[in-house]
Amino acid sequence: MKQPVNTTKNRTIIGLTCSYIPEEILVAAGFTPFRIYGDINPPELATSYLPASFCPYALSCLDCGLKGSYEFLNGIIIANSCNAMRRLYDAWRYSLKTPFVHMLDIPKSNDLAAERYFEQVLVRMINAIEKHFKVKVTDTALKNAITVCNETRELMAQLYEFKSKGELGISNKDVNRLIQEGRTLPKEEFNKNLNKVLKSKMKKGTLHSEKIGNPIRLMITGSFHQPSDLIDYIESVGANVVYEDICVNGRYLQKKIELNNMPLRAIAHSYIHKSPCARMLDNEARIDYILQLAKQYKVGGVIYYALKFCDTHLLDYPLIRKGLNNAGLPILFLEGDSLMPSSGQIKTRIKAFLEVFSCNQVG
Amino acid sequence: MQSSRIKQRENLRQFLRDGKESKSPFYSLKATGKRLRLIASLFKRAYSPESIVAWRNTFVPTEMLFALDIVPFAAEANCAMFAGSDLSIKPLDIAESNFYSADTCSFLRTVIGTSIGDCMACPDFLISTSHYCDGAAKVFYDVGKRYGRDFFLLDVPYDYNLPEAIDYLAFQIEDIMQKMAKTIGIKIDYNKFAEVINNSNEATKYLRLVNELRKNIPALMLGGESIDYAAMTANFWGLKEAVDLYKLLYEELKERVSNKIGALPGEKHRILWRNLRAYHSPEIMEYIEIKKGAVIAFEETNYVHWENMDPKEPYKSLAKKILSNPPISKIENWITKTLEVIKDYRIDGVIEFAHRGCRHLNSAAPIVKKELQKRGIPFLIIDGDCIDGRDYSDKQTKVRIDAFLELLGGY
Repeated sequence: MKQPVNTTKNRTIIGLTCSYIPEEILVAAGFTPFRIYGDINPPELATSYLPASFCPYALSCLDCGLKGSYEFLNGIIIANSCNAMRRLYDAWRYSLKTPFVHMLDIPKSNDLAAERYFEQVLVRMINAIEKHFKVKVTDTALKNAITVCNETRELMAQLYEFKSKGELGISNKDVNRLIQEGRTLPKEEFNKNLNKVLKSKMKKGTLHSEKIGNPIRLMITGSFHQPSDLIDYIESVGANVVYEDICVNGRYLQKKIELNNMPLRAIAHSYIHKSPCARMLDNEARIDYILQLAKQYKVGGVIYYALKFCDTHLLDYPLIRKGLNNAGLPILFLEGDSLMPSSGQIKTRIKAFLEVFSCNQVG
Repeated sequence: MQSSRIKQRENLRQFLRDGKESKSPFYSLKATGKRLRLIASLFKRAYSPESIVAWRNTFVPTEMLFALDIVPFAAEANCAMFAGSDLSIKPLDIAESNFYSADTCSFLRTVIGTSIGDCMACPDFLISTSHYCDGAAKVFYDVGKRYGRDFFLLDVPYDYNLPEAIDYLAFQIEDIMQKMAKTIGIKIDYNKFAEVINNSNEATKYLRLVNELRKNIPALMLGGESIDYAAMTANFWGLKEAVDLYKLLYEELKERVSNKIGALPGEKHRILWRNLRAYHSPEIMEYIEIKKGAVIAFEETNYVHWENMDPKEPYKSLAKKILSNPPISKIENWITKTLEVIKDYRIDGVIEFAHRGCRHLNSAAPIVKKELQKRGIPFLIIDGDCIDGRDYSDKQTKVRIDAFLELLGGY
């Protein structure tokens, strides 16, 4: 699926590669944050600048860039999420002419020292943006941006709540498309669209899922990938994906920022204290978070999807597996080398997982 | 729950019993013997029940441990030793049977496998930096959970130039040392800390002198002998013995200069070696140097990237030492250093050993290759694994080396 782009309006569009990059700062600058998805095709050009046995997401981002898919970007912010992203930053600057390319250093700790450091890092990012784009990012603008982005989080949380109850009346694929399109729009416009979708569903009353019987409720966690085809397949064999704990979906909507008189500090605090993804170290917190989600969304099993060569997710898996099994939650490990995890092998494994699966609600 | 160090020492003996004796063709200097004895002595001390032991990854500065009389245990580097005795397969299999992907770094999988197999000296603490690789900190965190021991992360910022980066890292070094000192029941002795920093400075002085001598033509020592000084010796910075070691090395090389002795008669070419080597076999370097006469004049792992440290500001000094490592930050910093070395050591060609699973270092290779090609500098990447020799193809590797050396001419 090609990433949809709405470039009809005269906007400054800044690409992002990680959900730890605070969109609020870009919104405060009057920009549109654009989450980069790459695409599902195998890379052709990127392997001139990055090795073939490398993160498929990094390769895909660069490949799309080299093919001109991101020429409309006025800038890109790449986070120091992992080894792959650090090298993507180098390769992007080396091979492409995006006018503004910034590396955002994200601490791996979340103690007070890390939080203060992250705040200083954000100040530098703001200074770089102001200097390059000749704009001013004020505290008032940051507060407004926090309000707007908090609304996005709230609306997406509602969307997920309805989705998990089968009360949306639109397919998971359409939900993901809505979210993906929304990641390219100005936030206010995205919020308007989300509001419309939610209101229209509420007006029509509760629309129950078309599934017959009690489908197995699954959650997906893991590396970045484009979830649609995987979800379609899972649903075609009688299960229901009620939550995706991946950085472009569930992880994106975590935690409203508490507004106070120091908006930048509030942003730094909130982002650094998100429930950790695999690039952070606290596995126990990650296990607790997955179990909390499983309880909230009445999940019976977890699909752990790791991109090939994704060290953070691959090395997390043994402890996560142990933690979830101890809590009685079955987990299936899948590994794929593309952003579209729908190979025959993966389908076979999902089917086998569902066949031995006995509904196990965590509660 | 793990057993005692005495039991672990016994488990280690059983484990080593199946190993082959590793005889290196690269052992010509007294300093090398001294280095090996120092490694053995520290390794032995780690297994003593009386020692306070901290597992460290390669980039944690040992000065912060010696200042507290803590014995550093270089978990990753020790795996290289197991590989040299052909003992990696069992711990790798153990790791994989515990769901650690075979696509991840074999150093880290060996660390996991040997800790599950309970033959590594149980740590009192574990410390890892967040660089170079994402995996090291994760594995150390994991192992810390298995042993029920405190794990400390040294979260290394990306941009070494920024004052807040130095402050953040310095704060962490002090914080970790204070926590360890409290657990041990001591206070940090700043006189001792200053002594450790001074030892480190003194040893570095001799290493700089050694590196200066190594610009000599013909080369004074083979790369196969010098490469191991970096990773293993990184476990000694701050000890008086490290000063003695590098002083001895300097004196031996100086003597070779005076006596006009080169390491390789009829040296044909001078190679710069990037990254680590295949520890399961010295064959590759032996073939390049001894068989084909192309001396590895220098290796980037021995590059001194840090400045003299100030014993009155030990935390900031150590932070700057860590941050000054060229591959941490933007790739252009690393490329600049590589080009400097190529010029200073009059290098004819560059060989990089691409350890499978090493995302950080290997991922730089395509861009480095382009930059070297622009300047007409031949560059060969040897794909392999530092620890796991199962897929090593002797013939294939030698064919590629031959083709590369033919490009340099004279064959």
